[in-house]
Amino acid sequence: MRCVEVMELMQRNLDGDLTKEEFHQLENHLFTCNECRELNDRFRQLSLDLETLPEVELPFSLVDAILPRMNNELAPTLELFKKEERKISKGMYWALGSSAAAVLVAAILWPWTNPQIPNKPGSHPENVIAAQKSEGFSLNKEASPTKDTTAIKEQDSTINHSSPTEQVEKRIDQPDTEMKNIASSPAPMTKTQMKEEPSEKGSTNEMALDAEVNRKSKENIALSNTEKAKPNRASVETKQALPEQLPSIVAAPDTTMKDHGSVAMAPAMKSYTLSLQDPLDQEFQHPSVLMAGGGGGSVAGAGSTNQQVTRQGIKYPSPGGKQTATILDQSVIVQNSQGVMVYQGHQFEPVQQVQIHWLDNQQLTYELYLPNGVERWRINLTKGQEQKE
Amino acid sequence: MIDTGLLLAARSGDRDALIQLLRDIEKPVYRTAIYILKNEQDALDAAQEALIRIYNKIHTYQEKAKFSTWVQRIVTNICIDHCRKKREQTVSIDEHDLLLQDPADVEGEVERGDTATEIRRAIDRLPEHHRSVIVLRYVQDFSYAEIAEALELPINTVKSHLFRARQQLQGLLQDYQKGGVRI
Repeated sequence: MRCVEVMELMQRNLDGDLTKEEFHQLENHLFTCNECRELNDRFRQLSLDLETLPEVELPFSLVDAILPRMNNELAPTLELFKKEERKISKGMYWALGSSAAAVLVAAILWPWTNPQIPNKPGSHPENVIAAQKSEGFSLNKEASPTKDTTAIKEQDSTINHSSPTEQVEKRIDQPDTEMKNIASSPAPMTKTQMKEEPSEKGSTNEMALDAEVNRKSKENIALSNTEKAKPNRASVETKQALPEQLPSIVAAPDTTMKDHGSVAMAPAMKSYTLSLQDPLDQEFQHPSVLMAGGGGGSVAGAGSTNQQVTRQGIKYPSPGGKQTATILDQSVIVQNSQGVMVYQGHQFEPVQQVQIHWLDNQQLTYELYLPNGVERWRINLTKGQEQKE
Repeated sequence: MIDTGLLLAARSGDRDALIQLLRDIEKPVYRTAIYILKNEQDALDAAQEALIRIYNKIHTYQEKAKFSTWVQRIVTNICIDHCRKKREQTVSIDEHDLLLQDPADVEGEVERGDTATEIRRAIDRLPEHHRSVIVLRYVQDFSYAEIAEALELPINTVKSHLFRARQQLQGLLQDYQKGGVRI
């Protein structure tokens, strides 16, 4: 073996990269060649010196030095995400708001612009508004999110195809069973129904509010059916409420309120449903958000706090707020208040949606909407276990 | 060693976790910067820039790469850019100095200090890419593959840079020793 070839072996030997055979070849050559042996010794000493270079001490904490910049000037990572999301969401708010406003105007003007259509019960403009609001924009917790979406789709189609009066009647007549699953719908649409309540409200107040909301909603439907020409308290209330509700068609729960630009306009919410059009691995690509009231109600279970179709990266706090659940890389991760992961669920297949449901501070269930059905899993943090139910 | 839970939390948007993560990596980031840039102030600036970049880009980190190699890629890129800019700014001055200085005097200026100081001086004289490879190999204790990942170079190129760098260092140290004898 020539000295030039041995040079590479010497170098690789310093990095522990030689095979046994190569090592023997090197040793044999060094045994016979003084020059290479000396060079090898020098390399070994150099490598040793490099490995034992003194520790470099930081004169001060760099993080502490840049922390004020991070707080003030620099957008944190998630903020960047949220800004992008917000940009699109804002556009959606406008689109939804504009559509809803157009439908509303069309509904008001239609009876006058088409006098040949006889007024039917419930077709008086005032009642049309009341009916629309009670169906489409009311604070009716019982109405399902899916039905609500059906309603707005019908409202959209009203513009082009049919009389709003007929649509209103149709909607009123529709039984609740005509629900469609928006999450699985290919139409990239969203619509929200939200329930108005202070953010810190307890469940008793929630129930009282729901009862009140249901009462108003029923009142409105009754009014439209009995052809009351005189505007009543309910219709006036809904008229006043409508402009406030329109901009907040897409809304966020308490925990994410502050992350959305238009949320300030929306009343705080506790229960909600978000629906993804795309599998979870396409995080934040299409923030088409469906929001519907009564999310908590649709998931039966004592002490339920939130029912959410979750999105990757967003945190879903436990009732006590000490733990947060996150979807990351297709598994549910629970972190404590310090952000340290305390539990990681199994990795699941790509799904249409995931619903996380905190049962208490130590237990949560999540439902995976797989192409071939729904799987329900339970994570028990006390036991550190995950079980399929 | 980076706590996986901390990393996951930081990636998922937990700001406190992200700050803690930055605290954990600030020293290795600074070590690389000081060895590549030679100068404390430049190293502090580059390390801060790297930490800020990590802070803003943590969501883009993919688990395909080791987190430490991803971090070192950021800091070495910043340092190499810094060297390039500095060289462009000072090239005329350096050329002027070289013309005026006798090579023998340059060697004579190297004081015989301890081995670590000599090695630091020798590392400082390496071209940036060779210096980066040496720093990642010995200061960060990276393998060939990790250096290749951090510098986005083929493994054979990494080996080639590393072997040449060691040869140069060995030659420089020998010169220093001779110089020391001459003095």
